Amino acid sequence: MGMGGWRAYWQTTVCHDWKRNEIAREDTTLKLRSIGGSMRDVWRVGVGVGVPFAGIVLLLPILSSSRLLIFGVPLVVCWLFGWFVLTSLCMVVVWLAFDRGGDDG
Amino acid sequence: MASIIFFLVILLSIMVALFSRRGHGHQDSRDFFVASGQFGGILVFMLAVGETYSIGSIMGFPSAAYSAGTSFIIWFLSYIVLAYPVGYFLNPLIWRAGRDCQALTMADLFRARFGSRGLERLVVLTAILCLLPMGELQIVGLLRVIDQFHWALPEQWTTTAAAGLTFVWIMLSGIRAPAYVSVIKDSLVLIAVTVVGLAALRAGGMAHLPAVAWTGHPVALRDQVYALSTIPLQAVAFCVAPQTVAFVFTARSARTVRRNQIVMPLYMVMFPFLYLVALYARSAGLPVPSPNAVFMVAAGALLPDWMVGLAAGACALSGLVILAGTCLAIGPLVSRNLLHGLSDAGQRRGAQAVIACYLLFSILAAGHLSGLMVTLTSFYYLGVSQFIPGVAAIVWRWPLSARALGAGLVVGDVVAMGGALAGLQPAGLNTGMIGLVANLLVAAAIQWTERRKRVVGSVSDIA
Repeated sequence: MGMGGWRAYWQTTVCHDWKRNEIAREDTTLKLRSIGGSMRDVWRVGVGVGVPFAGIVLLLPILSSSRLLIFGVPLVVCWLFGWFVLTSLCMVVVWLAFDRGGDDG
Repeated sequence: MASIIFFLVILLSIMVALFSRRGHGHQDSRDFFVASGQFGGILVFMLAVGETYSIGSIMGFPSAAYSAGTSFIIWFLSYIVLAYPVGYFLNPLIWRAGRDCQALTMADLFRARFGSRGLERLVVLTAILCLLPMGELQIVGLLRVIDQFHWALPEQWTTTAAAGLTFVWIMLSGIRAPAYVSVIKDSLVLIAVTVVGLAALRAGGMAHLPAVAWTGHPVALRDQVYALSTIPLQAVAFCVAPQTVAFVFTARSARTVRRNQIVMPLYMVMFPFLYLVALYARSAGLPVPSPNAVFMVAAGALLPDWMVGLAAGACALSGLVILAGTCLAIGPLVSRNLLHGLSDAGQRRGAQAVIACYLLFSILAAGHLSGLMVTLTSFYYLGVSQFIPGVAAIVWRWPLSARALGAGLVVGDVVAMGGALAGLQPAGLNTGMIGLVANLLVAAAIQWTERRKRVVGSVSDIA
């Protein structure tokens, strides 16, 4: 095989395969990044909205059935007052962990 | 003394409104309605949080806690506190959508995204229906505050003065006036509510707290179902209300909007003090002429005269700031979205005329249409929540057509408001939630039908 033949072989097989592998690698990286990105969003929304919703909405039926009073105030009302601070805290966590450095418009 | 302090507070608000005009004497419509999107964190915070501390909240929360007890407190506080994390994610997206199409109103977003005048007008009409009773609500609240002074003035004088003052603020510098006045209003509200709450605690002590019979009743299952269906609905609806969207557009950046949401739940710390006021009024057996007067009656019983004047001034400013915000939401909806083709100056003048008519309507409604306004107030979240699919389709680019969204909106409104009018509440569910489900189903069904028709059309073209 002469020089021209080797060049043709290199371009059509080895180089082509390498490029195809590179595209596949990039594709895999993008997929992983996308999974990472979506996992990141799940955590963001989970901590930012999910935790306050779960803490308030899911526990309401249990807490509102209680007759327990704390300094004369029903437990469910005290619980809600506590979530004023906890909700802020959830958003602080999301801000510090995900959004602080982001280009946000 | 109380009257003098009250008038000094009102005078201070006028001076602040005048100050807000500095450097903005010649405003275009964008500056007039959304301050050209130049507001930083503090002003956006004050505007947005003012919505939570309206005169309805300060006067209404203790009154409802006083008369309805725990079941009211649960859904009311829960939906407000949860609206903030929803807004943390949603409001920056709304801000970006508004920036992309230079929107001044929520209806602008719908027109830019779907290119449909019909849908734009439908959104405007629903928004106006929802906002219509807000003015009357503030004016009635203001009257209950003024009652505290026993001035023996005809009610029309008070309501006309309140509406006139609001109009002057707006004419001075548009949205800037209520935003700047909010700074003093919120400072005064914070002081007034905290002082009245602490005085209530000091006067009553824990021993005077009411018996379990009032506060400690477990909430009935039906009330729980209502709360559970109302809280998520209203938490999201809070973020897509027309005036909230307009406030978001005043922000300098999405980052400003997001950071504000983090602090807002902390500002709710005033509600425990308002709750203490309700407990005190109940346990001390204060002579309360109507539940709406609980806060002012407790303030009168607990505080020196000058402090009562300060509390009354704070409550009055709360009402007037919200009234101004509502006016500035309704004005451009009509002059910009309902009446097309007006010039920039025409939009501004048109909005000012609409605002004057709205204030006049609110005065008349406070005097003669209270019954109708109470019904319309109950429609507020029922109607506003029907904007949720549309706003979601805008910010997340859902592939929905204007026709599908419009049909969904109409069906949602009819089901939610019709159900409420008929007194339907199946298993305790909020009819707004049922309306929203109907809204989504109709929109999805029409979108599916349209898509199917397109596919069948293109197949037959190929054949």
